[in-house]
Amino acid sequence: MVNQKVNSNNVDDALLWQAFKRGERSAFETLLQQYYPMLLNYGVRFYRDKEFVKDSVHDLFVEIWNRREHLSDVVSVKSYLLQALRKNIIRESGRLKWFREADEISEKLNFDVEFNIETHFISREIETETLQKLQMELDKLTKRQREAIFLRFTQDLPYEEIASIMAINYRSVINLIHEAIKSIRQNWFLLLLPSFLYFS
Amino acid sequence: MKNYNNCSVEDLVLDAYFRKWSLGELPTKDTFWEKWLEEYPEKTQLIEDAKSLVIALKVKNTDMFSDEEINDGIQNILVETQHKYPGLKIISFKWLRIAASIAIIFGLSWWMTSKNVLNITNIDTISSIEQKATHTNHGKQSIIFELADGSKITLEPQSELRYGNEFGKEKREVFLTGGAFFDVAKDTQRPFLVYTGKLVTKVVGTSFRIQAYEKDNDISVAVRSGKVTVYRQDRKSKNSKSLSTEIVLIPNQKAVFEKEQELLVKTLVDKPIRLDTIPENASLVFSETKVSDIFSRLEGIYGVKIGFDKNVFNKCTVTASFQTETLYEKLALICEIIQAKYEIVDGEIMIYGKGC
Repeated sequence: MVNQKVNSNNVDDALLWQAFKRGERSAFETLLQQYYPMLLNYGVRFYRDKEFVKDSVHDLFVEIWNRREHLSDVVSVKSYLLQALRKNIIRESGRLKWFREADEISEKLNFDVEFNIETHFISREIETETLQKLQMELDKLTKRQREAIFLRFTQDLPYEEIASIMAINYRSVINLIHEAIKSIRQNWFLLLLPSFLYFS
Repeated sequence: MKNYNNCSVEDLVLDAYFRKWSLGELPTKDTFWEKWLEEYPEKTQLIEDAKSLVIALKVKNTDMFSDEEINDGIQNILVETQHKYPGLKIISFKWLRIAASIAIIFGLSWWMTSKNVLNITNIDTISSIEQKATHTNHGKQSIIFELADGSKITLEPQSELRYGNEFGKEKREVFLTGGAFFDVAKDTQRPFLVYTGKLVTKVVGTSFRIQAYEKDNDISVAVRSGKVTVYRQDRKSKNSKSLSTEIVLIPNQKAVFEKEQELLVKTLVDKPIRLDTIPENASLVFSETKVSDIFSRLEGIYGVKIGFDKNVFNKCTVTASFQTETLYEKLALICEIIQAKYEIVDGEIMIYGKGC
């Protein structure tokens, strides 16, 4: 059902990437302007330590600049960078964990998102109690479901790219997202039904 | 147009076009969904459920990183990658850590083993056009330097001034965080622009001081000489600069930009200086002098307009001798004698009272 149309940005991206690989500073600068904030935003969802995330993104860009001649061509710069950052963060946090006290990072890497429910539902006069129940349903999503939803809906990436970023197969991505939506829907709209009888 | 008649809520939530509509991201001309609903009113509930779900699943943007941080982060990457031997320039633990992580990456990549590690040294510094110069003052004293156009900058501690390599060619544009005193070389062809957050200060040739520290709630621009224009930078409407957001300042006037409310107010500097050539501490003696004469004398000295009702104060005379007092101290003293009050309104001084 989903439009999997070719992103027109991909063409520009491919050119930009070529220029970057040739060592053009302006291309590198454009890459930074375009993707640096997005990568920070993605990074902090794994690890709520701003400085750590800034360092990780910094290292990633320095690394790709230094290795630019040896990088392969990429289809989507965005998912390439997201994937690379994800790997680096997981690797680096593993390393940190090894060095630090075990209890400091006792749990595995999380994926932390805050959903945007309040503004919409409060304006529709839904009671706080219901709102809390909704929030609880959202909180029940697994971290993998959250990440998939974030990449699909916030970053607008197609399923294949999400699959390669998260290092899982195509079918699993679809399942993750479908299951998440289904479970929320089933549990929520039972609660919400009376308030939904009008249309704004 | 695709047929949505048999769509479930899940299908709609996953549909890019429907998502756009739900989030209000479609152009207003596009009324497909409104029309669709009119045609299938029985789908209202379904649509509304799907719409709510789309909105609920929108992830909040994190506001953890300020624009400033993002810009600094980008600058740091650019600086670190523009030298052949970054390690020689920035010797710090940060660099060691980066070196270590790069070494690990290289070590782990089997195809890098033989030839590539040494290639790092071959990185050339191309395209100097894009490079930017940055003056940063981390010390405890102001530093003074000159720009290519001859303008003199006194950069206060904990402040930074950045500009592109293009500086001076067509435009003179600099970006300031923190505080600085500008003594701008006159050049009517190329105005000098200082960007501080949302505030822009534009001059031709003059001297003024800007304080735009991140920690402060406001940005201030105080003028020493010449004429200075200050305005808000609106990204959306670059061409339609409305009059209300532009302020023209003359010496001893100051613009204060309150960041939170984005209010731009004209007032006077904290310590107005004499604009004539007479030394600051030259004595000023009045004996039974009409207060209106005193005010016009002060106007002449400080270049600040003093407004008052001539009829009210026409009988007031003052005998006083001033030396080191500031303008405000002088005014306070005069006002005490003539039973009046003064206020600073829109960069001018207003005197209120009942007269003598």
